[in-house]
Amino acid sequence: MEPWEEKNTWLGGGGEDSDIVISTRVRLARNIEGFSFSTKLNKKEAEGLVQTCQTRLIPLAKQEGWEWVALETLSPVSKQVLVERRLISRELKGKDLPTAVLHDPQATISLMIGEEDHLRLQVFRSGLALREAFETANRIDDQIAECLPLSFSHQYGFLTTCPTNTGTGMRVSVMLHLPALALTQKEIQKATNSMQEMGMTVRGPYGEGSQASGDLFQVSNQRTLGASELELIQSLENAVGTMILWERKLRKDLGESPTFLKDRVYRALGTLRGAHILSSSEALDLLSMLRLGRLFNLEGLPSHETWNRLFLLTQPGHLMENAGRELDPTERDLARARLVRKILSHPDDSLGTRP
Amino acid sequence: MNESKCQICNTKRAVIHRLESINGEWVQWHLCESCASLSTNTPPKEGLLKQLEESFGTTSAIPDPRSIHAEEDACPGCGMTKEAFFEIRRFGCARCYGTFNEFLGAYFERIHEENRHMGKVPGRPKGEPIPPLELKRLQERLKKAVEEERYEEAALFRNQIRKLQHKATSNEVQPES
Repeated sequence: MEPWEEKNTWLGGGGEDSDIVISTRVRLARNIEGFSFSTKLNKKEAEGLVQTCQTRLIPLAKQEGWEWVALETLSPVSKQVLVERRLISRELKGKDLPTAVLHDPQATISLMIGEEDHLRLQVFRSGLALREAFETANRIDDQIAECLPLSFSHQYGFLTTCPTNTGTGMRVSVMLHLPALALTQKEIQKATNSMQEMGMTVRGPYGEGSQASGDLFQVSNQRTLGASELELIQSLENAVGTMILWERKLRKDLGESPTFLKDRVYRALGTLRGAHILSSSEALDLLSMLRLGRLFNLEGLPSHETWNRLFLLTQPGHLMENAGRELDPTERDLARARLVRKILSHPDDSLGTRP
Repeated sequence: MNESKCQICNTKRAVIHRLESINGEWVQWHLCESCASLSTNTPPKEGLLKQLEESFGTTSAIPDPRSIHAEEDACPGCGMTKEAFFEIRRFGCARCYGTFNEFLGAYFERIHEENRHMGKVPGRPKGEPIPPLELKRLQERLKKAVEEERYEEAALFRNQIRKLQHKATSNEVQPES
């Protein structure tokens, strides 16, 4: 199943406030007693860690219907595809030691093994669904704790490699689409500052170190210690609520200048239809305008599902998977433009998906 | 640094205190009776360096007291030192939290504004326990010491392993010697 096909995947487009909130993610960091943390882990220990996890988590994986993927068996392109589907982090992809990931077929749950912490559980939902995602993560975390002894102290909570994760080990984040706010540098800067004042971090769509493009921003909690999981979720909900109101207000203003709006949206569509060289960030910026246009019910724009396909398939890993080989950045820009033209001229068939 | 503990085994109380010149540098030794005497049954009468040389055969096998100091400060689980922690700002293992507890409260307050966990508490795992990291590390060091024919050190590691295993199987709290 492809991530754009099902309503319940993170890219499904459903859920609350989905005009602004693309997806929700809850991540729990856990370490296992008896193993060094990643900073001190050697190859032998890493092998032992992966093996211990495999042996002890098999019953749970079977019960949940998860697939076990040993990353050393994958090509660099396949790993990049998993990064773009958010099943693994860029850090896990870059590891030289044995690592693995367990994930469900819908790509809404992933358990990375051998990341910065021994275990990194991620639960994704489409739209704003922090509590629901946390409930799932919490249930799986309880089941993992029955299989493996987790490093925990009553004073400091879950013991993580990085002190910025200690305590709950929980990072909750939402991916926001803020095209109206991002129209002016001043507004988006003001919004980012206000998020930071509320104790939140603002990052690009692929987390730490990723640049914001396509008007996509990831907002997450900074602190992890000294508050309960639900308190942390409440703070993020409050912060995100502010952003949603802010973006909606600016969108309303935008709606009052329909010519300006149409100009932006249909120029973007024209460029996507005609481009022969298309970089990743340009594609994302243009796609952002199409998404905005759909929210205003402008005519002649691709459906939500087609938009999702464009969003995911134009990313480097997916382009290379589609081509069946590695492509350099110039080749990718050509392939991306070709694929976009193809999908936009036949939006409803499966052209452009994997053979 | 705890001056009252032996610099070699880091378990027993140091009862023999000596000043020794190593390559022209004066070093203070604080040792327990058994580590001071090592394999010899007589307490050290002559220079400790000479005594150690006789026991180990070569001077190169003698642990540098400065490295012993560093080792004493380092985490027993993974060898992480305070300096290394502040450099990379990452822990090396779960034991580091205990090792560096002295300054962690203030450190966490700076990052999170709080220093006590208020979140969920995990349940206990079912199934076989995983041997503690410190035990694995000592077993590795024992193996290496035996391979390199450093039998006196090996004996110390073996004693520490036994102590740990005993601790794991008994529910009683071990009194400090």
